[in-house]
Amino acid sequence: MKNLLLIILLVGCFGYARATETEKIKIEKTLKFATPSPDNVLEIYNINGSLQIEGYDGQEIMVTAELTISANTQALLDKGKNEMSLGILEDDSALVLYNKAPFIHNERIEGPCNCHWNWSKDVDYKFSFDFKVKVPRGVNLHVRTVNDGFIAIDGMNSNVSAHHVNGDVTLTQMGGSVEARTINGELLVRHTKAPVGGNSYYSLNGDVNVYYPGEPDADITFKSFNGSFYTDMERLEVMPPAWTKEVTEKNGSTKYKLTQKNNIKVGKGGNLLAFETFNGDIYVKKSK
Amino acid sequence: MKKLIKLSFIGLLAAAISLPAKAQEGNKETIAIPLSSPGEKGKLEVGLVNGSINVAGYDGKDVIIEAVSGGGKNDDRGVVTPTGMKRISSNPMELEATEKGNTVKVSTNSWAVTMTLNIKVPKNFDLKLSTVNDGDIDVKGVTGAHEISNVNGEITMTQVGGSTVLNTVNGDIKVTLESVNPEAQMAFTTLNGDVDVTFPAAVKATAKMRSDRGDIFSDFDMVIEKSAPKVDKSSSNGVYKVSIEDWVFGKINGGGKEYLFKTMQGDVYIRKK
Repeated sequence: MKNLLLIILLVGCFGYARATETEKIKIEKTLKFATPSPDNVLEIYNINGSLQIEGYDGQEIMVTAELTISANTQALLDKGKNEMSLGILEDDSALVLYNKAPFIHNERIEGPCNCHWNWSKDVDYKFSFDFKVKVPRGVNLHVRTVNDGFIAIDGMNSNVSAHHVNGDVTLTQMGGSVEARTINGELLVRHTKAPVGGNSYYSLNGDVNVYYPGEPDADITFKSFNGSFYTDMERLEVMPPAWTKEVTEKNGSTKYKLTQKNNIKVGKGGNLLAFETFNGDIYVKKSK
Repeated sequence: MKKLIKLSFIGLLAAAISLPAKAQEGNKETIAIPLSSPGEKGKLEVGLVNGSINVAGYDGKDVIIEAVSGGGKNDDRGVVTPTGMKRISSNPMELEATEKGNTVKVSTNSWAVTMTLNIKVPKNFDLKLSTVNDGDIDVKGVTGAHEISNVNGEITMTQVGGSTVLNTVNGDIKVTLESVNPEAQMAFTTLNGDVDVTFPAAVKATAKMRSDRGDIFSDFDMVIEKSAPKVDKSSSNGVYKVSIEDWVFGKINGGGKEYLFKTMQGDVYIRKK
């Protein structure tokens, strides 16, 4: 009985704590690179929230960011609204969008530091940015997010690097090179062109699904702990596994590491495609 | 066991046929590990789950490890291959060796990949080796304090010296000692297999021997003492338990440190060189 009361009390507390104030703020920006060049890169460093990016045939970058702040009290909500904003930095060839607040240290903006921030102590409200961006197809992308949402990028002809932690990464109509990774999520990439140079795909706990038009000439390396590698490509040749040697020294002891990676040649080989998962399967398919 | 090996070999062949494979060539890699104090005594520690360990003493100063991956079990149970696709599975191997103060520790992902390690060490080296499945341990020409254990396989040592503590469960133990450390005790135990040990003729030792279902043979002139069966009685909750332990003791050349020889299903051979 006593326990039950305690539970009710606890649940009550929680219920009270959960009674939050929420406010959504919509931020709209139109940006442009001062000097258009193939090196132009749009960088987004997000923490909570989704990134939806679409390539189009225009010149401007149209950003819609929806900032959601929620807190237990109106006062904290106001504090959040005061502190949190969308940071924008314009470099020579880069445009950087980031979450700007006193407790966020962005190494890209402020340089490296050894600072750690204590979420529970420093941040007494919740925030998330959901980005919707329209970007010229030729602009390179370098985008990051961590929680609550997904990354979806469509229709780019540039180099795309997309990292997530707790969510899916879906890249469609990719005409350039791709470097995609997530920890807890599925990875799906659809290429419209055979790879030029190298692509890499990584998911720790999800499947990796990659589609190419036809069978590209490529050297594929893959590694999966609990999963397997599947493909419907036909011009395959299983090559000797590639070994790597590493030597590190620390506190008077020397560590020698030998690792093997599976190696498959498709067609004539050449472009290096690296696949890695831990708990997921890898599927490499010809798109239909 | 043999059958299993054959089967997995056929499996490998099948895999090789289905895809043009050059995988065989790349399943070997060698790494040389220089010691911090070359020329001095060192120690090698290797623990495997699946695979064999072969150690040989040589006249060099480094520890040279040759890792051979393969023979791995590609576990196809519960795997559904999507239609129109093929599954390409092979387990890549990993090996990490750490050298500190002349001690080389080797760790691997042998819980996932069956492998063979061919290791060359300077002749004056202590060995601590163990494996569990799908492998034997073979040591040649190394003198030191050796502690070796296997579970489902043999332990073979030739031209070794020093002291050895050897243990396996399903497999034979076969050792030829060229010299012994008179200060050390030794043990040779298995459950299902023979224990066959050859000592230098001058060895002084007290052999403590037991074979539950086999015989004990020796060409040493041993002074045999059969111990009175040691009876342990214990009781709990009104139930009495009586266990009898029966060992044969034999003094070789007047006796010395205790050497233990034990097997359940198998014979014990103690030979004079």
